[in-house]
Amino acid sequence: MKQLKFALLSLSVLIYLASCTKTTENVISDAQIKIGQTISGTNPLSGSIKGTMLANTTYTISSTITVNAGDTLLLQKGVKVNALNGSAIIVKGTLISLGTQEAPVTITDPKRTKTTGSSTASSDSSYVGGWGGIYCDKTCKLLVIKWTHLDFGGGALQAIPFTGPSVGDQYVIYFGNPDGVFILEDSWIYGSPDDAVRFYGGKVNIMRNTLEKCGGDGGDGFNAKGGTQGNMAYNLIIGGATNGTKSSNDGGISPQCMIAMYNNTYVNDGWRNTGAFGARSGSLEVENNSRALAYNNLVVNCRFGLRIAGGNNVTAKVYLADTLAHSDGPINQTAYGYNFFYGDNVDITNQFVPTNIAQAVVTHPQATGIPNMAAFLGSTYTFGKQYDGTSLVGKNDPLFVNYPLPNLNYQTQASIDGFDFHLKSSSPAIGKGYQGFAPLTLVPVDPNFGSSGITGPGKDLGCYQADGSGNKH
Amino acid sequence: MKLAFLPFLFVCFSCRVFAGDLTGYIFDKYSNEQLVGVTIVLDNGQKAASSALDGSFSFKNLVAGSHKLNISYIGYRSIDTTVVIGAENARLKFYLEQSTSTLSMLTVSAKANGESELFAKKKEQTIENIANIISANAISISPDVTVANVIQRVSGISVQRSSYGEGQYAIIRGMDKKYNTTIINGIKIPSPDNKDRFVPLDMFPAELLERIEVLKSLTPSMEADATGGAVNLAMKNAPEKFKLEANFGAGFSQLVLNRDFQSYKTDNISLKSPAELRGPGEYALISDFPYQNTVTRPLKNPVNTNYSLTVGNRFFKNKLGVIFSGTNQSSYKGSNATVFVQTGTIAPAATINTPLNQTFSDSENRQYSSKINRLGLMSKLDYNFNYDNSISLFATYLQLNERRVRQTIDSLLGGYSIHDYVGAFAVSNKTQVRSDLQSIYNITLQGKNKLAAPLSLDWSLVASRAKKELPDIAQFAVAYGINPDVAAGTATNGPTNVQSQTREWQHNTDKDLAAYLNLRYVLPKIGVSAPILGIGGMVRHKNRDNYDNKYTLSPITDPGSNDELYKSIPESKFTFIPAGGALGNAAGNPGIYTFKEDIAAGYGQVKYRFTKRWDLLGGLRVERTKQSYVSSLPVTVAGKYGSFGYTDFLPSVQLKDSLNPRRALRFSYFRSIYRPAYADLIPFYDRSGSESYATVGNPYIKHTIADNFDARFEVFGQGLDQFMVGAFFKTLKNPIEYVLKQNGFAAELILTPDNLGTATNYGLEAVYRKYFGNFGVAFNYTYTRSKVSSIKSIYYLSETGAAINTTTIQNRPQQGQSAHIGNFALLYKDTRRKIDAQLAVVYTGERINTLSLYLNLDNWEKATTILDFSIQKKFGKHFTLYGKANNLLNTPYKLIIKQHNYSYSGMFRLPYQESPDFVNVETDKFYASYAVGLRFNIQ
Repeated sequence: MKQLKFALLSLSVLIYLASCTKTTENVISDAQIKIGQTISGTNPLSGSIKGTMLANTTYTISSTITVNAGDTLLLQKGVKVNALNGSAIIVKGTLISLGTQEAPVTITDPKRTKTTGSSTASSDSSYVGGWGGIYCDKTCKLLVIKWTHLDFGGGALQAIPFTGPSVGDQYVIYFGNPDGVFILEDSWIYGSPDDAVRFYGGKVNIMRNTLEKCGGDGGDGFNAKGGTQGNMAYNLIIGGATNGTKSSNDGGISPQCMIAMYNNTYVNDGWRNTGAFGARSGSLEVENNSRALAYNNLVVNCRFGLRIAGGNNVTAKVYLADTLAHSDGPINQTAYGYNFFYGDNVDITNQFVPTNIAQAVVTHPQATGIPNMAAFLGSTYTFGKQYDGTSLVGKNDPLFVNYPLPNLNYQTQASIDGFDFHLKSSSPAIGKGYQGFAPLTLVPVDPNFGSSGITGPGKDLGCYQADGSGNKH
Repeated sequence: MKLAFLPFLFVCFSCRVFAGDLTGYIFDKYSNEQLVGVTIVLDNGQKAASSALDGSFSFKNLVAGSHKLNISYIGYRSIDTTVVIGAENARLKFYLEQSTSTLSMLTVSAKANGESELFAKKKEQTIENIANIISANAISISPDVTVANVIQRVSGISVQRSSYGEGQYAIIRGMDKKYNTTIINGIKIPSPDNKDRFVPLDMFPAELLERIEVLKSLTPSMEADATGGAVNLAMKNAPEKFKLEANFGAGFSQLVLNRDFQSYKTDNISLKSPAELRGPGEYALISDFPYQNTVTRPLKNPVNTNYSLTVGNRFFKNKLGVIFSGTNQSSYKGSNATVFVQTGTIAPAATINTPLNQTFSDSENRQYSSKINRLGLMSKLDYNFNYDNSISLFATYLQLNERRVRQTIDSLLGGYSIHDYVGAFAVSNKTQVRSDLQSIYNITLQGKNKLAAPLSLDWSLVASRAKKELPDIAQFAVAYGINPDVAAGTATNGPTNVQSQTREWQHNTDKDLAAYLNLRYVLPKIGVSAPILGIGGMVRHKNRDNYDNKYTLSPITDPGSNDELYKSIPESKFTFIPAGGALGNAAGNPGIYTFKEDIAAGYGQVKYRFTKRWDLLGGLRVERTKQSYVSSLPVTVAGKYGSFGYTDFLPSVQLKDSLNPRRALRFSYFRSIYRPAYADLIPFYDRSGSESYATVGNPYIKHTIADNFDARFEVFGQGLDQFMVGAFFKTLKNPIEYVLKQNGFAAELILTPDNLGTATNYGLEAVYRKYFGNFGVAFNYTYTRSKVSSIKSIYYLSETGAAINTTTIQNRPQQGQSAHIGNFALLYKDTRRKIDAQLAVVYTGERINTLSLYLNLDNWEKATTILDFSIQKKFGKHFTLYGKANNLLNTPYKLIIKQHNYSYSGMFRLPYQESPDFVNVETDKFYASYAVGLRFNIQ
């Protein structure tokens, strides 16, 4: 009996292992059959590239590499890519980077090192692009990036890789195919001069990532334009120049930009935008005829709260978010609530519900959030009006595991360093999540060629869940 | 001519009873036209008069008896005679005979005064084309100092103005500047423009000219890329005898009395960019960008000056003619402008039928201060070996340097309102300094040879170069935020911080080598005249290069801060972020390109008077175009290089029905082309042209082919009197118009050229000029209607609420075409007191200035009426004192969008709004300018 049990167990383990192994091998080899070649790490790479970068191998890119239309470049787990001379990765075909929790992939400029503590636009070279970034043409059907460190990207483009971007563009990832699929999951982006990720279309799942120091003196974390639909959820975004997540239907490219932004944690965002368009928003932004869901987000010491951009017929109507009810999905109406705001300065608390100063705003104060802004502002409040938020300063500490509040370094603490933004079990954000909506399911779920899993709305606010789900970093 | 002395004919035709007055009229013996400005000296100088605009003169209260009269006029033989004054008044007619043979297109040295108004009128009458001609004399008494300003007074022409309000480009009968060419003495010249072929007409000082001919129809011997017309600048020719003219003028612009004129130091400006000086791949240093030229300083009441000198003579028994002419104008001009910057994307309309609404992101107050230096030099030598063979060498150098300061207060419009006006959320103060250095030179060697009695030829060898340099276009900016207290209606400003600085270098050179050959063969007489066969051709090789490099310098933030607090320009610190920014954007800048063009053309034509009334000039021209370019775009982008080739067959015919010596009917048909401008073809991302949008070329556009029909009835009356009425019709296949499109995926809008189906352009023209004694009126009016179908976007919400971008076809007039344009001038010419005065009005009806991507949101330029005045008085034989006043009404330049104006009333008002039915998006004021001067003249 015991033997039988053991035999059965052994068999099942074997079957399980075999199936696992088989699945892994099959999937990768299926895809790699077309690739058919191993990329050697012996010599520096440049020019056209396809095939597979082998696990745990270090590669050097000496000048821009291009994955041509129809070709695929696969990065297995543990690959390290040192990109020199500001070289970029141009993707006209497919790029798949499959790091794992144990063996993440890293793409970096080896000449740069990470720094801790105070960080400003001109003192910290993290805001100066190193390697060029990943630029995907409209022929790119699939971009999958999982468990991958993208450090010091966004070096200015020295030449136009294809029609679309301009010389000098400084994004870490540029994706521009409204019909393509873009998965960015469980990854890290550290340092960028402009937007970390710029989307000109795509079906996207941007989930469980960590962004530090993104945007020099302007730029957002995830900046979605017309043609982009998907989720931005469970991301930790610290020290971003402007917004952490933004939806904007700029360009009016079909389909309309619709993003579900939920369970993100935003810390110290919106303080480095010094350009003429500076300081108009700094956490979540829904503008220019885009639709969005914005629930369960935790916003700490950011320049502005959730901004649903409004407008009048003269100046800023162009930025008016789409707030009407529709029936054409996947998001039928812009909706928001259950968001948590904390501020250590009256300039911050005055903008928990952003006011019209920078541009017109139609954010309605919500009773479901923390603090209850609907109650604080009263029933006579008209959206967009200035108010006095003095009494909100320092109220509702979310109780991070290790980030004592108040912390007045909110303008310059732009990286995680030794801090820990998980919630203590006593946090007022625990258990306050709203789970009555569904995430967008526009991308395939697949361990290699799709999402590792579209995590729905969480029970707790912010990106870290008490039950261990959400952001795994 | 054998009768060497046929002094005059004497006719008495009036016998009314008044005592002691002598009234006379003076005519050209052959044309029977009244001559203006003829000198009549009575009794060896006891009294003198000169003939008025209608050719009349009079002496009052003369003693009865014989009086001696001496009648003289340049280019004519003098008359000495005696008249008898009795108890009755005498009314006499005198007929002067020209001292040279009649005018001919083939005359080698125009001995008649080619600068006179009469000559111009006569040329207009005898020229084969449909043409309008302005003489140097008409120019000198007009309020104008540049060709561009003169030309706006010609029938059918309106001008486009520069940022300081001076005319710059001609729009001929609704055809945009690009459809017209500028030629010097019949030779096409290259353009210093960085993108286009058209030559800015404000480069040409009017003083170098003998006359301006606007040729509105083309003959086979003319280059075919002048659909609207060709502006021929006939430069001065060597005079018949010694001639000296000098001019000194001074003046000022009202603008510089109203506010300070801003200037900047130019000695630190490097003509070449750091990338060119240091070599490829070498990083520029911050010290390569001196701050000194970005520091502006006010100049108090600067004075405009204008000098010119012309000397000419003939030597060696009149075989060698020499003329030199030089002029130097220096002026301080500018404008004050208010601009509302239009957002690239707009909100979707509620339904597909709801009008779209343009919104605005910024309000800009701009003050332009332009110091303009215009230098023109020309010289011509001609040598007549004998009656049959002559040769001439012509050289000219033209230079127009503009040193411009643009100070902009850019208010970023917020979402709130204070006192019912839209409030600003941040303000940037930007100072841009820009040196725009343009020059053209041209050397032409021409010969005319008669090989045999029926066969003659002329040839030209031409080298030209046009150049434009924009060294170190530098913009320094600071900005501060505004924190309003809406309830209290007050605002506090945040700290002023240094913004990124931009420095840009652009230059382009266009070199032409060309050769022209025309052969004429006179056939034996058939019927009433001998047909003249003409064949000929030309080749031109053009080489062009363009360079552009732009650097962005980022401020160095203060320790522990994300900003650099502004203290002063010298104390502001900059760095390159990223370090590679020190290379500028030259590496991938499509603005760096070379362009080659070879044109070869041949034609055959016949000129024939086939009845006593009908003249015909017709034939066929063939033009072969070969073009190629190489740009610095990377190979991964379509359009890095391209080559184009096409051949056009271009028939034309001109018919003239001479109803009588003064009246004629003209008919004309010609086919013409328009070759896309260089930058039209190259995907060149350029922000220097438009203030709001970048322009990007399109290598896929085709050249335009136009069929042109004209008819004109003309009456040349007494003296300078004139009446013409004409009609024109043009149809253009593949017209090229700039449209706003989305740049790839980016939300940014770009201006890009496109072929827009077929366009038509038709209209009517009328010219009327009549003198009454000392007064005259000149009037012209042109009605134009054109139709281009353009593609417009509609951004709207569907019934389910989805935002949809769709397009529709909208018919609209061509860009720059006004339905109504007109000129009116009141002329006064007192030949006895030697006073000339002119009050001139130019009316330009509303026209599309800038096209919008969206339906019904084009920017229209409002109609303008500009009033100018000039006066001159001659003292003695050699001195003339003159005064000119321009833009007396301070006519503003206004751009509007014809949409409901939400900013006119209510909560969110914008300044400068005039109506609820349109939005004023730009208002520029130039103010009047005044000049006085003295001319000295010996001839």
